[in-house]
Amino acid sequence: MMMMSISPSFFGFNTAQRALMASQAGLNIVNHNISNANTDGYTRQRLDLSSSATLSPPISQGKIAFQLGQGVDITGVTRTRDSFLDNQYQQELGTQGELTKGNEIFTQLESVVGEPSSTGLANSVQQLFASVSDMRNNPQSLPARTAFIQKMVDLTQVIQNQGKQLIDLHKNLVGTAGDATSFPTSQLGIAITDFNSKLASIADYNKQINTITSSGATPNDLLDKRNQLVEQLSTLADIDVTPLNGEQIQISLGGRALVRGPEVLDTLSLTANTGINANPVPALVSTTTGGVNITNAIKGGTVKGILDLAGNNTAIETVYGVYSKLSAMFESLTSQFNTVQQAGRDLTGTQHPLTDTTYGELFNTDSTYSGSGPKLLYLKVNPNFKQNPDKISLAANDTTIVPSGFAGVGDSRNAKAMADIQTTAFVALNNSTPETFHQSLVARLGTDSRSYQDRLDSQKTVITSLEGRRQSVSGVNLDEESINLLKYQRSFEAASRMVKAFNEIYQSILNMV
Amino acid sequence: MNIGRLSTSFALQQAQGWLQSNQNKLNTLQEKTSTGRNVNRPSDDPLALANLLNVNRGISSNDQYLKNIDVGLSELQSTDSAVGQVVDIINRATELATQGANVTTGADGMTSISKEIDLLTNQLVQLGNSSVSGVHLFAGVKTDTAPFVRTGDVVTYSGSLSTEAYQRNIDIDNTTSVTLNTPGDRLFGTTTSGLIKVMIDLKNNLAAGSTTNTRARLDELKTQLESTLSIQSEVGANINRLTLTKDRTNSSQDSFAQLYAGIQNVDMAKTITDLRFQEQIQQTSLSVLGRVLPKSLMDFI
Repeated sequence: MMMMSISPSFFGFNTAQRALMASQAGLNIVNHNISNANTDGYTRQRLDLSSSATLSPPISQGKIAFQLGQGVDITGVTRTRDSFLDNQYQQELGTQGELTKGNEIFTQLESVVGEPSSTGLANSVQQLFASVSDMRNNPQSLPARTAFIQKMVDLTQVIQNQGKQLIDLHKNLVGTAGDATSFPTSQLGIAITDFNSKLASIADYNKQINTITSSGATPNDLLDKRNQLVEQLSTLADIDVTPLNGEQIQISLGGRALVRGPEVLDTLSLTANTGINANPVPALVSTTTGGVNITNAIKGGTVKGILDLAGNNTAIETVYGVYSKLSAMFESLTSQFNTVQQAGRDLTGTQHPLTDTTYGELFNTDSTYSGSGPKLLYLKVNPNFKQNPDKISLAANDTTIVPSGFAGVGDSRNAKAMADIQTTAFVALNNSTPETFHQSLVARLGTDSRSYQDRLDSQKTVITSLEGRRQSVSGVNLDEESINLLKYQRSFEAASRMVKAFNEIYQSILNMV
Repeated sequence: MNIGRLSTSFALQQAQGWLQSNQNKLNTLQEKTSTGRNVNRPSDDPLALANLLNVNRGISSNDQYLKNIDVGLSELQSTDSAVGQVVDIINRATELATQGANVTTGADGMTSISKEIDLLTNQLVQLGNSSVSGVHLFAGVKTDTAPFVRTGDVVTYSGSLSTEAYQRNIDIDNTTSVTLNTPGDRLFGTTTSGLIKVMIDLKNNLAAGSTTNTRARLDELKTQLESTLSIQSEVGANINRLTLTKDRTNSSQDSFAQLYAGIQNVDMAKTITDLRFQEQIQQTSLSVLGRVLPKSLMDFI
């Protein structure tokens, strides 16, 4: 009944053609969505349709005038994205990155410290003092003295082995503080390089997005990719993202703009830190704004996790912190043993004052020691005692015995003084004994590590729930796409039928002539 | 989590997360059962770890104290037996002196008694030089040399004197030291004082045939016996003390061991039950996932 003498020729074909195009576009979008169902950062796209403008002027038939629809128009392809959720998610990523890295380093730290164990440092210290007690029981016995020397060597090996592992770990994290060439290969260096290259990519995407938006189109897939980069960047450091006009963004860190639209304003770099002992972690420096140290402006992300655990955070046990504490413990222990050795008399009644370069010290400091900083790796058992264990001073220097000052080989008063080191509280060790100092170090390490684990667990829950909500908006559901597929397939078929129907109609009109 | 629309890949991601968390729990339980230890690293239980290190230190010190006590007991027992022999010698000397002081004995008898006293004196010197694995028991701190040398009627003592402040000590707990040795001059004396002087005088008196002087020596022997017996009881008291300390340390060691086990040893029954339970969860979740995940609309159209 739609035979209208005044409707344009082939009007029906045009409408059906638009319907075919719309269905085809729909099918293509379903295809795109299904293809990217597993692509990270992909946002589900949706076809926006609206009915076409009506034919103008209205068609009139006798007294009746009516409007005739012209079918469907494609108005756009939209990314289904909730930018509020995106922001929230992106902000949580910094904490996630920091805790993940921190947790990873804590695991390594715990395995270096290696307690509880029957072969660890605590055990070595106990064994050393047990051997001192054996010497006290029988100061005359050379085997007891030799055993003591062996225990000193054992302890030195165990504690220095831990020290070396900690230094290696520290190097792996941040490089050597005074040596800039070691930075690029460290974890921190790699993270910084990664950070800078992502800044450049984001600026690049900004440029491309700008080109497309100024031509009036929506660069959905580019936005997805840039968004993914922003998220990766947030995991590295707690950046702030500010939207600018024309789908552009600004990235800043600690209040300093790094990328604005298509421009990279600033990048990060590492410079050698001069205060090697006070602050052993290389400083993070922002390059173009005149080398300002922004270490403390970074409040989250992998970079913060590395810096904190390497030694920047004094509120927790860190790699460098544990290293310097082990060193303090070993230094206190060894220097006290040396002091006692110098005070007593050996098996032959001879005294070995500090000036005695052969037997004046049980533990020597290596000549390569610079004079400052942790001494841990520079202390070694005086090798002269291995051959002459009789030179260990176990007897007291007894001034009441004139002139020798030596009571006899059975005198073990100085051995008692050595045994008492076990229960001596050292000022350098916060007024605790070497063993309780180590014990509280290990316990604190456990507490800190546990707290990171727990925080990471709860952070993961936050992230998962945000991700769930986000995916609920943006993620592809294959069943939904299957339904869309059916929908557009059917509408395509129907539109094709329309073409066929109009063809037949026009055919019959032509046949009338 | 009710979030309305669910994306397919997120559903899979979550399923993976659940499986992983189940596997982690299984792994932790497995570590516990296979190591038998509750605390395998500091973060497992920081508080328990601190206790554990404390207990370990206690156990290790106790081990050493027990070792020290055994060293002490062995020396004190050797000393005890030597002192016992000294008492025997004094008793025998007293017997002989009583015989010698008797007027009916006669000059010949006194001479032979004098010879026996001489032999007993030699025995005393030998006892004074007794050593256990190279350590001379009665030399004070000069343990490397034999303290007594007899040349004729002169007996010199070269060990450290009982008047000196320091003797040989061992540590039997964190605050207590016990003196092990009895100085030789106190137990045996020398030519100028003490038991050896009495013996040498007695020998000479008998050789000279003086019953009066011999009788005077009898009184001195009695005094020596008393002081030796008092040394013997001191040694006995020290042995007692060490034995008691050993018992006490052993029982403290037992309670340490219990404490250690309480903290560190895994309650197997509970852990294995947990493990079974976790296994069950793991299997159920696997089979549920296996049923739910492959379902897709594609199967039906």
